Amino acid sequence: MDVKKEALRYLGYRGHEPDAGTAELLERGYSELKASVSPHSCVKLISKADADALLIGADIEKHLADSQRVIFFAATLGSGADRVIRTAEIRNMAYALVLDALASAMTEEYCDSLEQQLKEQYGGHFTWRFSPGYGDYPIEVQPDIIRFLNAEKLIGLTVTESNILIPRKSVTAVIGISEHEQSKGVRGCATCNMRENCAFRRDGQTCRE
Amino acid sequence: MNNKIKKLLEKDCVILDGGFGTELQKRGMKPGETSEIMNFVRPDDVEAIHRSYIEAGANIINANTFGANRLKLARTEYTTADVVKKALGIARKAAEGTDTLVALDIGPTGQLLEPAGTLAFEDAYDIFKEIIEAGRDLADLVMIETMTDLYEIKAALLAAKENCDLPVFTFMSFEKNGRTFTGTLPSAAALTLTGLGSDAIGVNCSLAPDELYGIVGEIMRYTDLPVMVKANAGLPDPATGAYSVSAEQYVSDCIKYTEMGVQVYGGCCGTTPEYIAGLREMLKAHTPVLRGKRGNVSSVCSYSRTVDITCPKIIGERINPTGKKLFKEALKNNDINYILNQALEQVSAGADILDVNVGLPEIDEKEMMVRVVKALQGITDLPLQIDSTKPDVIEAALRVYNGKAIVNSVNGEEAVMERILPIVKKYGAAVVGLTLDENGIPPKAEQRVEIAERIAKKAESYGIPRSDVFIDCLTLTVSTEQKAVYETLRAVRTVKEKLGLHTVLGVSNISFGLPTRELINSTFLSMAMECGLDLPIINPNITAMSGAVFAYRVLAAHDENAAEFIERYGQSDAAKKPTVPKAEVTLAYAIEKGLDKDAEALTKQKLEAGADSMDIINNELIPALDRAGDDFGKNKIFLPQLILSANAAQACFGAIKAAMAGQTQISKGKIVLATVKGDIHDIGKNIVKTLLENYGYTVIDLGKDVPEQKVVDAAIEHDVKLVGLSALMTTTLGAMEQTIKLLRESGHDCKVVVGGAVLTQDYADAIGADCYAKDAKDTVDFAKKILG
Repeated sequence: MDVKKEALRYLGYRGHEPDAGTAELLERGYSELKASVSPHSCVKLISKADADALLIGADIEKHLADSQRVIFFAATLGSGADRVIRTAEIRNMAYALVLDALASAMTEEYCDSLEQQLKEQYGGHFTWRFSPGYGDYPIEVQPDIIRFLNAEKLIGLTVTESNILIPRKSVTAVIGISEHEQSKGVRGCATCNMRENCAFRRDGQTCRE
Repeated sequence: MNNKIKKLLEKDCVILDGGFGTELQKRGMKPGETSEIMNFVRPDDVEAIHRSYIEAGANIINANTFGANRLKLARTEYTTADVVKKALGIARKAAEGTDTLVALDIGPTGQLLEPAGTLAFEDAYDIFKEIIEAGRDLADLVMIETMTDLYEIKAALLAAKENCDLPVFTFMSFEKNGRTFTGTLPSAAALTLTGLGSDAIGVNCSLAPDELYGIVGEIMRYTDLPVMVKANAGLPDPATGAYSVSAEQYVSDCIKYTEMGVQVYGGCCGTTPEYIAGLREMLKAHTPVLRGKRGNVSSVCSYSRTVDITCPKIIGERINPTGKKLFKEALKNNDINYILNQALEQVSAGADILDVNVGLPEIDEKEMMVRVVKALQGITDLPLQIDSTKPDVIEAALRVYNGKAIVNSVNGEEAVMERILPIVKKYGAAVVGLTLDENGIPPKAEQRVEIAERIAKKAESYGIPRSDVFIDCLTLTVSTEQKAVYETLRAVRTVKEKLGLHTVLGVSNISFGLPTRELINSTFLSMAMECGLDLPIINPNITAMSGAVFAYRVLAAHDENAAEFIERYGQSDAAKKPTVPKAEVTLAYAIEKGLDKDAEALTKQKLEAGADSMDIINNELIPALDRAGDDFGKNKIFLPQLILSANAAQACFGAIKAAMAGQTQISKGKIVLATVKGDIHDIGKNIVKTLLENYGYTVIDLGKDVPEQKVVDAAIEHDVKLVGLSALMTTTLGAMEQTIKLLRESGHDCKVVVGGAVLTQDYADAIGADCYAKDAKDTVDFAKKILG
């Protein structure tokens, strides 16, 4: 993934080239974040039957219909990313906005690389990553996943009373593993990590051209 | 410290217990089950584990109270008191008839503190206080461990020190990169916890013994307290759960710690009684060496930056309202961002420490100080110097400060020292001592040196080490007392060389009443540094001042190979050029294109040429912003560019405000903005704020996670006609609805505009908002309609 391109997409530049000012912010932000993030993750693999208590709702059930085993994982960029963004918000909101998009893209990139690693480790056919808040998979399951993964102790990831992950640039997700190829379905806005912060949805559009 | 522990620490070494959760799992506790519940459902197993550690040779065992805080117990049927009393009872029973001591064990709350998270420092303190009150009569000591946030362990340590007389051992958990998850440095942990009165400091969990040597060594360089190691038995195998470091390996890796002088040994996750018994045998053969003392070194720190005062370090003086109209206005208007900007400017100019003074007769200094300290430590890791004469202000600031601060200041007057030094001691700060007393500033260097020694002695009598007393020999104005300059310099040299104390000096006063003050200031600064000045208090934004310090560090061979100097100045020619906008750049163009420096320079030119500031705002600034807004609406430009335009407008506004400071306010009306309760996504709200401010509105920003009633109170207090609410999560829309409801019920007449990605026009209508804004531009349009 090209993190900078992905960040531009989050910022609403659907294929447009950034202006000089934004391009400069993008470069500066990328190096500042690279120096400040400290990505950590933790993973557990269990049989689907054992994961029952953490799998709530029709959408996750459908998502895992063909899977026998389930991976739960949590990944975070660490509190350094939050700190950099918070500081930028004092001096330069445009920079803060660009940093925010870059950090989101970095989180996705980190999850991608983690998923690739898990594929090599466990084999089988993977579903895509499904997170609390997608479809009818309730955000309220977040504390249980954090506890199940022991994520507070292992990677310093916590969850607030309103189920927001802190550090902010973090993801928890579920991946199903099956013995044979499974239909992946189409990913749409309902199952996108950016759905709550998306420049396109605001205008009733999507990021896909 | 109670006698049993004191005796124990007088021994060459002390042995603690090992892993508890992992032992419980072996006895049938399932992953994800709460280990504190085991005190009730498996008390015999808990007791058996304690016994096994006592038999293995532990001098101290931890009761099974690690997660017994109200946040973690909320989903169980037990209270903190239930768990703490029950667990300590079991541990006591297991230790009966032995010399083994029982510790009340305290782990993290499970929530991150502000500013990284949402838990307030004061709330964390209360949570820990509850645990300590429940356990203080049953425990021999308090063990605070596995902490990754210095702020949280400070809350726990303070709660222990203030609510019981038991000794307190403190541990933090570090990662391979040498920091905790939240960025805390070992040096900062050692300095801060030592200052706050911990009795021993250690590392536990997260890493294996052979991965912690460097971190433990770093802690030892910053404290004289006993140091402790409780490592993990490596990492668990994801499939089998077996830990990677055997007992034999663990023990042999710990031999090196005896050579380093570690005094207290134990184990964390994955270690078993076998490991502890192994440690006992190993320690019979290897007596830990006696460590050397820290000596006359002083360091101050935030949680993530430690400043060693080994060469001149800059204390930035700009956070201070004295003689600054804009700063005073900012304080009166609660404009914290203005103050934060003052901080960030000094950070980039090369300050090492920031002085913080928010004293103004018209405001509540204590409340403001706490707010500013909390906000500052959210955005900069420079250590702070708390500048106030009021003991209650100093104490409030030190209490919420996440690190080891400096207090500015005391002087030779007995009453002043007796008021302030106990506070300095309690919170483990360093302190500035001014060489004056009730008789004023003595003229002669010798007399000032005498006061300096008096202050150092008095500080020592309170238990503050001499190394943490920084003496200010006081700068007088050269234009009125020309001969006095040398007295000051002589005093600096004597205090440094004869008394062995660190020195601090406010430099800028020297040139009062003279032309080209910078020249006098920087020359005096260089003279003072050569006499032994450690901590010049200066305006680092003036290149001649901070530059003199950087140059001195090169010339005095502190800045090795001039590396820092070259990094700072190596390629500055282009950057240093003053901004001269090209002729074709108009103010409107600069704003539209987001050229903030040009916008500022052009505004100044216009003002100097006599242009009316309202004309500039109405005829140039706002139309230019409108054009950028239109382009944004048409997808010709994107959000970052829109905000860059707003930034340029802000620079223009800044120039106008600076020119008009103290005169009539230029505001098109007040607006309250808030991200609703439960929601902490506030970047969207902050964008709206930036834009609104640059259209000339005064924004009262209540921040994020704002309780419903607070919005209502602010709307009434400031009599605003427009309130903007933001929510980015479906789960917090309820709080938005409730806020609007309370606003309506209050009878206060105002419009409400709502925004946030999950909102729709329909939903906005349903919850009774007056306007749904799909973006920042919409909000501005609505504000124009309501406020003009």
